[in-house]
This record gives sequence, C-alpha cells and structure tokens, in this order.
Amino acid sequence: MAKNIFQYIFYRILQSIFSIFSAIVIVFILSRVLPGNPAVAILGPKATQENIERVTREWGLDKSYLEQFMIYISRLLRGDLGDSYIMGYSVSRLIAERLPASFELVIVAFIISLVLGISLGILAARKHETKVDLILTSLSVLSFSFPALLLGVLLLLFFGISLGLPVGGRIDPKYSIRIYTGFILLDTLLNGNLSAFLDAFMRIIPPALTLAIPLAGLLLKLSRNSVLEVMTQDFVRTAKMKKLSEKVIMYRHVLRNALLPIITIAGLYFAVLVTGDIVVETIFAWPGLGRLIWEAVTLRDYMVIQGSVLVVSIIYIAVNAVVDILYLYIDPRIRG
Amino acid sequence: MKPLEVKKLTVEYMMYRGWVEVVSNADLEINERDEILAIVGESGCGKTTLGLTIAGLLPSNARVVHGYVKVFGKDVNSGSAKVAMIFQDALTSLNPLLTVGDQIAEIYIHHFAMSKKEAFEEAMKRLAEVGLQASFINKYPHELSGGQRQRVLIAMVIALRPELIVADEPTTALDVTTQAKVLNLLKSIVKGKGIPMVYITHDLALVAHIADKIAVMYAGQVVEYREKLALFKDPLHLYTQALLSSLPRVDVELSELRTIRGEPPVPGNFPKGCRFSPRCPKAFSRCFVEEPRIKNVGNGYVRCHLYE
Amino acid sequence: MAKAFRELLMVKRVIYGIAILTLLTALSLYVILFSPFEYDQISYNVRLPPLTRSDTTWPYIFGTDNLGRDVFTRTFYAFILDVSCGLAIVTLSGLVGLVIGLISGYLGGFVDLILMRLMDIVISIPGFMLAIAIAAVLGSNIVNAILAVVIVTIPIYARLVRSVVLSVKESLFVLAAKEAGLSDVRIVTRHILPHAIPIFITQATMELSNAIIYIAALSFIGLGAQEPTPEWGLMISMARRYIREAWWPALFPGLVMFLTVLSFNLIGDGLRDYLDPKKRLSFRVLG
Repeated sequence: MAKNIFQYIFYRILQSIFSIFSAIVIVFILSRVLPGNPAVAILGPKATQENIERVTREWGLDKSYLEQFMIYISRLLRGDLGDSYIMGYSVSRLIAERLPASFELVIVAFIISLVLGISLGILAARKHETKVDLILTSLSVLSFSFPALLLGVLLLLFFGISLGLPVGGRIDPKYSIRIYTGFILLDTLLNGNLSAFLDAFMRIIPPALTLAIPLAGLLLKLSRNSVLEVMTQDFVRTAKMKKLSEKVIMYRHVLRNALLPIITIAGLYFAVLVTGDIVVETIFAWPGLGRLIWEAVTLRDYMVIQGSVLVVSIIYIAVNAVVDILYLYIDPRIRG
Repeated sequence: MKPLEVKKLTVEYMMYRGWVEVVSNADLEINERDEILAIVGESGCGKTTLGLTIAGLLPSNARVVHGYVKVFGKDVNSGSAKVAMIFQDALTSLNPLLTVGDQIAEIYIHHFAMSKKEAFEEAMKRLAEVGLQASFINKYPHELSGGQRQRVLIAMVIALRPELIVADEPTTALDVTTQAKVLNLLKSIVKGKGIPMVYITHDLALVAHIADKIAVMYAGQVVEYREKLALFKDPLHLYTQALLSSLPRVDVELSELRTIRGEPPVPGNFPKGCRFSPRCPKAFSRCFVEEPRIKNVGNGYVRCHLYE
Repeated sequence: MAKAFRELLMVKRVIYGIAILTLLTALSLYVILFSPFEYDQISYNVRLPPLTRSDTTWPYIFGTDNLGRDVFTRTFYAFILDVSCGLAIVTLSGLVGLVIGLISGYLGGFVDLILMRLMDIVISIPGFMLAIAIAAVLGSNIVNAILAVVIVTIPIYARLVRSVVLSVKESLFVLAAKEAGLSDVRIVTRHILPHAIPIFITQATMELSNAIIYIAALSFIGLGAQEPTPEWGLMISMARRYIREAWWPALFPGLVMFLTVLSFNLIGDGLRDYLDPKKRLSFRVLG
C-alpha cells in the first residue's frame, strides 16, 4: 500500500486513467459490434454512397481493428468525438451545448437532497425509537422506491396541471437572456431580470425534486444510521463528561464524525442521479445531456449515443477520483 | 461537607430480561479533599457502573433505583456538582477528528468564556502540567502513544477544575513504566491541588501505591470498606483475603498462584443469601439464606456473617 | 433455517412487502384469467377516464389509452412481464456473478487478478449508461435489454461474493477441511458458500427492484420492449405525449410499478437489517 499521501494520489490517478481507458475500449468495441456496415449504421438516413466513403475514410473502417482503435484514440485526445450526420453537428458540440443544463439540474437536485436527507436523518437519529423516527424511516424507504417514471409524471401533473405553473424546458422562450455562465438561474439574476429568474426557478423545481427525492431518502437512512453509530462512541461520552452544550456535542463531535463517511460514497450518488436524469429530462423536456441521449436513441444516432456515454463515464470516473483524494485531506487519520 | 457521599445506592440496567440490578446498596464516602478512594473488584462487579453514577454519566438504559450520590453536599444529577471522569480507553475516548489542543481548549472556550487564543494558551499550560511538550497541541489522537493519550485526558480533566475526579482503570492498557508515571501524575494532582479522587481498578497491588481508603466490590455490593493499611494488614472479608493471597509475592515461595475457585455471578443471577457464599471457604448455613448486613469496623465496615 | 425464517417474518417491513407483492400478483393473475380485454385490443374508445363503463362485464378501471386499450389490463400484464424480466435478470447475473466471485475469491492469484480486472472494466462506466450503449448496439427488443442489464449487474454480485469468500477462506474450518483432503469443489460448496448465501440473497432482492427500474427505463427511452408489448416504461413513454388530455395512462402504470419496487425494497431492507449485528446492544459492558 502507498506509504504517503502523494503516492496514494499518484496511484489513484493512475487507476482513474485505467478506468477511462477501459471505458474507451468498451465504447469502441460496442461501436464496431454493430451489425452490418458501421458506416451505414452511423449515417442512418443519410447513408449516401458519398457519405459512406467519407465516413469509412475518416474512421479507417476498411483497416484493421487495431488501426481503427488508434484513429479513434487520436481523435479522442483532440476532443473530437466524431460528427453526427443525423443531427447535423459534431458530437462534441452537441454535448457541450447540453451539458450546462444537465449540470444545473443535477447540482440543484443534489443540494436539495443533501439538505433534506441529512437534516431529516439527523432528526430521526435524535428522536431514535420514537414515532418521529419511525415515520421518517418509513418515508426514506418509500421515497427511495419512487421511480423517476412515476414521480416525474406525478410532479408534472401536480405542478403543471393542478397548480398551473409553467413546466417543461428551462425557461419561457419569450425571455431573451444573455448567457454568462450557462446556468440559467445565475444568468437571469446576472441579467437583472427577476421575472425571468422566477420563471426559470419554477421550471427547475419539479425535475429537480424528481431527482432529489429518491436520493434524499437514501441520504436520510445513511445519515441516520451513521449518527446513531457515532452517538454511542466513547468520545461522545467524553464530550458529555466535559458538560458541553447539546448543540456543541451534536455539531462539533457527533456530526463531524458521522457525516464524514457519507461523503465517501459520492460516486454512488452520482450514479443514482445519472440513472434518473435521462428519464427526468425526457419527461420535463429539459434540454440537457439526458434528453440528448433520448433523442439519439429515438433517431438511432449511434455517434451521439457513444459520445455521450463516454463523456458521462469520464465525468463519473473523475468525480470518484476527486472525492477519494479530497477525503484524504479531510480525514486526519489518513493524512498522518 | 463531605467531598463524596454515596448512600444506599442501587443502580439497575435494562437488559433482555428487563431491569437487572447491577449495584446494590453501596455506601461509600470520602472525607478529605486530598483523599483517594479506590474501588477494587473483578470485571462485572459493578465498579464501572458505580463510577459512572458518581460522575453523573449513566446511559439512558440505566437508572438509579434508590439511594444518592452527593459531592460536597450536591446531588450529582442536579447539575451543580462538578465531577470529571477519566476513562479506560483513551484512544476511543478522544475525538479522532479534532486536535489535542482543540479538545482541551474547547473546555475553556465553553465554560470559562475565553477567546480562542487564551484558551489555547491555557491548554498548553495543561499539557506542560501533565508532562507533554507544547508541540502536542496540534497533534491528533492517533499520533500519540497510549500513555500520552491518557495524559491528554488527564489534562482535560484538570482544565475542568472539578470538585471530584473519577478514574476508571486509566492505566490498565499501559505498560508498567508508563503506568507508574500516570499513577504518580494522578497522585500529584490529588495531593497537590486538593481534588479528591475515586480510583477504579481490578489490580489490588496497584491500589497499594495510591489509595488512602479501599472499597472492595463483589457482585454489585461493597463487601469491605477499610483504610488501606488496615485492609492489607488485616483483611476481613474472605473475598479480600482471596484477592490478597492470589497476588504474586517475592518473599514467599509458592509452587503455583492461588486462585479463587468458581466464577463471579452475573447480574440477574445473584445467588440467594450472601453473594460470595458459593465460593467462600468459610461459608455456613446462614450464608446461603440470609444477606449479610454491614458491620462497622473501625473507620470502615465489612459485609459478612462471620463478623456479626 | 425454519426458525430463521420465522424470525425474519417478524420484521414488519418484510410482512408489508410480501403482502403488497402477493396482492399485486393475485390481481395480475385475476386479470389474466378474467379480464374481458386483451392487452393489445385496440378500440374506438380512446382516452376514456378511469371507471368509465364499457360494454363488457368490467368497466375501464384505469381508463383507456390513446388506442382505446384498457389501461388496467395492460398494467397488470406488465406486472407479470416486468417482474419476470427482473427475476430473469437477477437469476442470470446473480448466478454468473456468484460463480465468478467464488472462483476468483477461492483461487486467488492470477485468476483473481484477471477476473477482477474484468469486473473493474465493466463498472468503469455507470450502469445505466452501459446498459443503454449495449442495448443500442444489440437492437431494440426486450431480450437484448435483459442481456444488457445482466452484463451491467454481474460485477455487483461478483465483488460481494468474492469479499465473503476472502474473509472466510482463512478460517479454521476451511483449513481443517483442506487438511482432511476434501476436494476444492466440496470445500467451496459445503463450507464457503453457506456464508455467502444470506448476503447474496439480500443483495439480489434489492437488485430485483433495480432491475425492474432498468428495464422500464430502457423501454421508456425506446431500447427495450416495443409496441404493443405491455411494459410499464413503454406505456408511460407513449402516454407522455398526450398527458395533458389524459393523465391516467401515464400515472397508473407508474403507480403499480412503484408499489412493486416498494415491496421488493421493503423485503430486501428488512432482510438486510435482520442479518445485521442483530438486536444491537446499547448496553454498556459492566465493570
């Protein structure tokens, strides 16, 4: 095992590179496993003789698999994910356009689930073995079981039809907003357009909630269990012996130790969010990466599908690595 | 006002089968400010529970059935009594995510309204008092040795400026030389600062070094309570005698160590009559039927039918 | 074993889960036997709201969809379909993962290295993404979707079983069995496997609900079941287009799906808590 922190970081990054490489290999293999001529599959309805020849040349489809892989990797390293003939843009451009929308949605959802899940989990732990705890624990199993397919539809109906609020899309097209960050919530504020901000806010809440609720349920259970475990540990007794206030004991001693291990499975949260995101974006017509994937599947656009899968995988691997390394800095036991 | 007064204390724990008595009718006291009362007994005899009760730290699954504990006239559960406790396992008793300095200074910030700077300065003084260098202030518990951690706990206890200290087997996990250092440190605190101490241990030999008075516990009861010299010179209870005779001695030739036959009873399964009777070499008919009452002997007492 | 079963049933969650499941299964069987509608029976009675009378012995309990089909009937046919798919997925990937985990953990060395590297490669891509990629390439039908999910979930079982094997491998009775000359296969099946089974079953139960969600999600985006197959995800996907005119074809399949997933989660959750350090003691050691 690594002897010091720098060695560990090095190995961890090495591991990530291996994972990214694996992902690339898998995506490549899948792209060549398509029945029939890959060029035809890629082009779809645009499969003219001219286009087929062009694509074959571009990707070296007449050459050996190893050569094809080399071409693939070299293009990848240049940030070139290929071109989507079906949608008419380069894949990288399509993905880059859609990413901010997904980011914004996922981040808002994550924040909501963190706040909701952890605060309720702490509450459940403090009211351990009472009715409140029972209700909250049941709620957590319930909310974790809500598939996006149901919850999304429910919230769409509730917000859209029952409440009559605007749903679908990120913002009413009647507003023209200058893009600064790509995050509409921020951009509307930066534009000074408050009604636009409210409109965007109302539209992001239903999809964000759909993503957040299952995750919040999971976080509730995890934080509750973690807090309960830490509360029985000796150093909490020491803190009580020191006659520190309830508040200090809870925040400084219990929570700090209880919430730390929850950070470590951030990768899991990411995976949960990604799984729900595609469905959510489709239901709410949210113009993000998830919806792009749905469109690509509908149009049988393999270039976009593969490019998207690759990009999401790389982000996933990177997030995992960053969290692991960050944890090293937070936990003094490992730092030393 | 007596530093410590324990009267007819009975404590129960909630276990599978319901509430089980773990400490029965304990009577103890400390009369002087610089006195050390040792509570000696095997594992499971109730000494830790007694210690926790004195410190006011009973967990929620335990309760005091009757009796009381008063420190300088104040009931320990009222919140006005200042009792600090040193725990056996120093590693788990310290927060692994906070530095030593943080954990000592927070006492000053919280109780004495000091600023962070002042609190840390005081913390460094405490470290010096327990024989640790100032550089320890930024270290984390896992970076220290067992003896050093125990000293950090002691520094915290001093910082609290308590009226009474309860020490629960603080040296059990340490090697002999470190043991001696910590013991001496504790003794100097008691004698030097005039803070009375209850010292809990299973090691009767260790007790000889530091105790002024000794209470021997067996199966939840205090079976003998004497001044140290009196106890060692003339142990009355058969259990005390057995404990003493099982100590390895340099001056007497023994082919093998004497042990006490049998096992101590488990709470909830205490035998009828005298709880030690099944293992007592001098038990007679009355012992198996009737619980012996306290018989005063000099400044202490013994709980045994042989002396009634 | 029987005693453990009885104790398990005392966990309330498990009872609720089994109850819901039994209810849904019974309903589904009843629908299949007695429903006057076929699952693909198109009619002119389009988008009728729930509980509208029909000219058969049953009303349209959940209403009709865009093609005039009875949503109630389709929803419960879909129950049978989706749950079967889930069971197939869990069984296949579970067995393969179990075997890989056993072999990898027991043999160790090079075999372990290769197998685990293989597993690592598979999980380098988030599950759902990989399932989409595989299903897209294989072709859009439900069998391919099942295959895709199987591939994606094998590593979960493999790693789980492997870690159990590793922890048990060095224990006394295994070493004793080796000394006694028992064959490897014997040792693994008789002595090591029983330790892995409880955790395996718990995981499998939770994975069952995941599998159902995966299949529904894949079908929802178009990669799994195809029309006119009654499948929850597909039904919701089709219904989504006219949701403003008729909310019931989108809602009810999701609702029944939720109840199904919930029941499996309850059972799995109860199982997991049951197997945990049982009845954790908050009682302090006496001293």
